[in-house]
Amino acid sequence: MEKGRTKVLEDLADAVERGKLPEMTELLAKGLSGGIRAESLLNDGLIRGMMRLGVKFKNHEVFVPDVLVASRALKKGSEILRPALSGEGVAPIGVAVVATVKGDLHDIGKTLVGIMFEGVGIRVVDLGVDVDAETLGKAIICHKPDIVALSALLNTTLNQLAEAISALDRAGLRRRVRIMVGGSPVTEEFAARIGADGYADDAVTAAQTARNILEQARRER
Amino acid sequence: MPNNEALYETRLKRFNDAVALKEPDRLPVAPWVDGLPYALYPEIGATHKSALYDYEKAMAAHIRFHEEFQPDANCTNSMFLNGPAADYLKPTMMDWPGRAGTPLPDSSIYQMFEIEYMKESEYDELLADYTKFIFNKYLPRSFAGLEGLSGFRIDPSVAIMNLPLAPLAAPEVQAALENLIRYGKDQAKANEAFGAFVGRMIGLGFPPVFTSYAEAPFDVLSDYFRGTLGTLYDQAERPEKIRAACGLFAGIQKERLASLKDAPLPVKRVFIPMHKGMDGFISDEQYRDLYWEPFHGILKLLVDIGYTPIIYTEGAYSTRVRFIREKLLEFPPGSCMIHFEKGDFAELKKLFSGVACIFGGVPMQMLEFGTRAEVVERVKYLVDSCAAGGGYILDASGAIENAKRENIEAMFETARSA
Repeated sequence: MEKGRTKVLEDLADAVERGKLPEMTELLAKGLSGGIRAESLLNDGLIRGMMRLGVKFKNHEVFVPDVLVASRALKKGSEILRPALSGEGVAPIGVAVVATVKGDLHDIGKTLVGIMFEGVGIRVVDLGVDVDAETLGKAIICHKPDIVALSALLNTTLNQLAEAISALDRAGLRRRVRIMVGGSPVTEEFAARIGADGYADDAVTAAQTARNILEQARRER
Repeated sequence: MPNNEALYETRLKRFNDAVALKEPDRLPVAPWVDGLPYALYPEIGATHKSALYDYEKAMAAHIRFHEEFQPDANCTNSMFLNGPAADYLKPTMMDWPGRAGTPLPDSSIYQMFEIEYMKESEYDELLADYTKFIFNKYLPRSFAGLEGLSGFRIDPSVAIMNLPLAPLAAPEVQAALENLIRYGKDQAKANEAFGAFVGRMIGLGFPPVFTSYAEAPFDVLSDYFRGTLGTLYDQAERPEKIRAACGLFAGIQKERLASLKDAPLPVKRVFIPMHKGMDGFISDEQYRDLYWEPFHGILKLLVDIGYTPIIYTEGAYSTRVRFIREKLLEFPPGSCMIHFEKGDFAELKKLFSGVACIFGGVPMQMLEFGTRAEVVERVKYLVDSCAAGGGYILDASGAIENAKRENIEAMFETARSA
């Protein structure tokens, strides 16, 4: 039984890494009918595959299209598991609000981050583009996210990242969330300068970083 | 005090020497600017909106910047886009300051949207009949003011008298065609204004950096047809379609660029922004096959007709630079310029030494948020590691929007005193 379980989970991780949706669907059905807990199928199978893919991305062995296809597969896998996860009382590891800052209408960076976040099991609330601090504040109160991920693509809107963080601070909401920032003109140094909690150079790394933040928080609870 | 004509010749030679990998009389300093002059001289009242609707005001700000800082070229990156035409053509792939109802302030640069103007199922239609696809689908989708073109078809059956042209009777087709004619007239005015600006800058002693543009076919597909997301999925699922579309776009561009051969232009350089080939977004194999292969033909044509391609990379290129160097080695030394937004400039200079002129190096974030001391240190590093022997032009990491005045001053002063 244990050997069979290990094999299903390993094959699942492998199917996610290769973005093979039909194979993954079949393995999920096999796992569920074989008595493997949905939480284990998600974390030890699907997410493990995605985290391994993240490492390969860092090593330039795979590229954004590979991770994107795998994320799409994982999202569908999570949907298949949702009823069983709910039955087991398992909640997503965390919630992230993603948005492009005020004055910036660029969608792609934020959307990619959202897809990659979902690909590592994080529930995403996408606020869209041109999002001001007040809307962010309302979303924090309403959705109670663990992470707020903000994108700016223009040099002219870089300042808005700092503005948003200051405004959340003034509203007393800053400490409720971890704030990650990213986008073409954003550098690690800039992220540190404006007091962000996390920065990533690309959407894949952002998702891995977010997952690590959430796992760390879970361990500390 | 040299006159403007002499200054022009000196600057042009300085810039050309650096590009040709020869030691110039001094390091060319040519930081490209977008919104910076508007921010530096608020009393002029120019904004990005002026560059779309009020060319005189925009021109005044850019001239003031050049007169004050005396760069080694006309560093105005992009301006004089056709705002009035955008108001009736209504492009759906962008928003711009001045559009009725825009959330953008006048000080914002225009912003592009990533929408799929061509669905994944439509590659074959594009490839089978480019013109039909462009007229009946692409233009109506990318300009609300040209939606009527979706019904514009010439059917030669029963070709009595002028019956094949009967679709022109539809009011929406007429409205679209009228917008096209109106656009042509407005664009001619914009061209004239921009030409006058370039001429005026030449008169003031500032040679243009480039006089035409091109784009890697892969970027054309990703930026304007499939969107980044669509293209990323296509890279995984239908690379053969990407290859075919890029071949088509390369051919169309080469036809236009070949016509530049004998054009009487003050400098022969072509600006080529590189958008979607950065690290991570495409595998090394697909970069070679889908990105560079069709693009290389464009580079070759430009070099063959005596033009210098200005390869302007955006994003991180650390995994690409050795490959790019190898490809540029196929051309005579100094045939191309290459701008880097990121990277170790000392290493880049070594890598491209004897191959191509590099430019860039001063981070825009530093110019806007950093200190004067940081800028001085950075410029000294760039001068020390890149200036010797030519093959380097001092520039920022992108076209500058906002910056502290003292940092801009520090950049020019340090580059010239080092």
